[in-house]
Amino acid sequence: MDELDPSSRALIDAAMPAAWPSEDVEERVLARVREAIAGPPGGGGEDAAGDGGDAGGEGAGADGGVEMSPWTGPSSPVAPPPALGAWGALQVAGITLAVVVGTALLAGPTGPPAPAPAPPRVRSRRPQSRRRPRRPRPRSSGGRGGGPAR
Amino acid sequence: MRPDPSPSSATSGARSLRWVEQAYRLHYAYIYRALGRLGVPESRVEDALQDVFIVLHRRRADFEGRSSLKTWLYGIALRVARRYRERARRQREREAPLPERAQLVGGGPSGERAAERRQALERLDRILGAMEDTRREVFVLYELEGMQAAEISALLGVNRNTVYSRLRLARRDFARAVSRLGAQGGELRHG
Repeated sequence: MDELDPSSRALIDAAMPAAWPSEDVEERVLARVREAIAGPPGGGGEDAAGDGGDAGGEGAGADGGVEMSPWTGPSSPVAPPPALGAWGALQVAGITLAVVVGTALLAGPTGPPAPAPAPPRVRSRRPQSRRRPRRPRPRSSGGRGGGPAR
Repeated sequence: MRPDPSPSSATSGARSLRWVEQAYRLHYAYIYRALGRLGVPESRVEDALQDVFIVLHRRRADFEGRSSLKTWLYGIALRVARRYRERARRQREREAPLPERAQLVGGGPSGERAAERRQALERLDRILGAMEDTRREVFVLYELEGMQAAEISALLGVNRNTVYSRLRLARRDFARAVSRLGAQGGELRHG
């Protein structure tokens, strides 16, 4: 396989030392990561970050964007979906019931299920065994048209 | 120290946070460096870095150790960078000049040498920024981050020949851009 052109390599070698982060980046971003994961100091435990603090906003959906890998889901990396609660659950149950009843009413009364259509008749060939056996023709002793010999 | 990648170690909140912290300490600088080269605007690199490690935390149970943790992080970084690129494209953030870079690389040598490096990095980013995205990803991972073609192939979900093909085209594009810059006296002005 071809190598990188020397002048290209020279530019990369000259540039890359400037690409490292400065020293203060490490702690600053780590603090933000901690807060996004564990919540603000004194707050709740994991995922208690609520709206995610700094993890929200522009950078929040690190895995919620257009191009998703199979291992990144559509939800926000920090904020879990809000819990339903008892009242919410009751509402959902009511709506579900209403939908079921409405659907049943729209469908109208239902009678017994229609009988299944009869399977198509298949004309079967008469079995060979039921055929009338052919009686062997007696040999005539005489010529044509002659009857059996007596 | 290598963070223990086993999902069982990351079941509880505190332990998983420790695991993410260990991973962060080991790899944040590489990921930071790569994010910038993958087209995340300079002003957004720290946000993108944070996102990468939040995704790592969320997906920690999916890490099976088939690749190195660093490679896995590059995979997350690729996807995060795509989103930032897309967003920047829309907002035309990339049109903004790069004076912030001087503040972001304060840890390096000072004076003329540092200025040269910053200028070189500026050129590098401009060239990479003009490159087609799929070629750029392969080029950055292979030439700048030193990954193997097999790893890149697994990360991108393309076969190895595709990786080599993109790399060849990216090298050609890059070399042409470098020679154009040389013909212009190495100067690259914004605006």
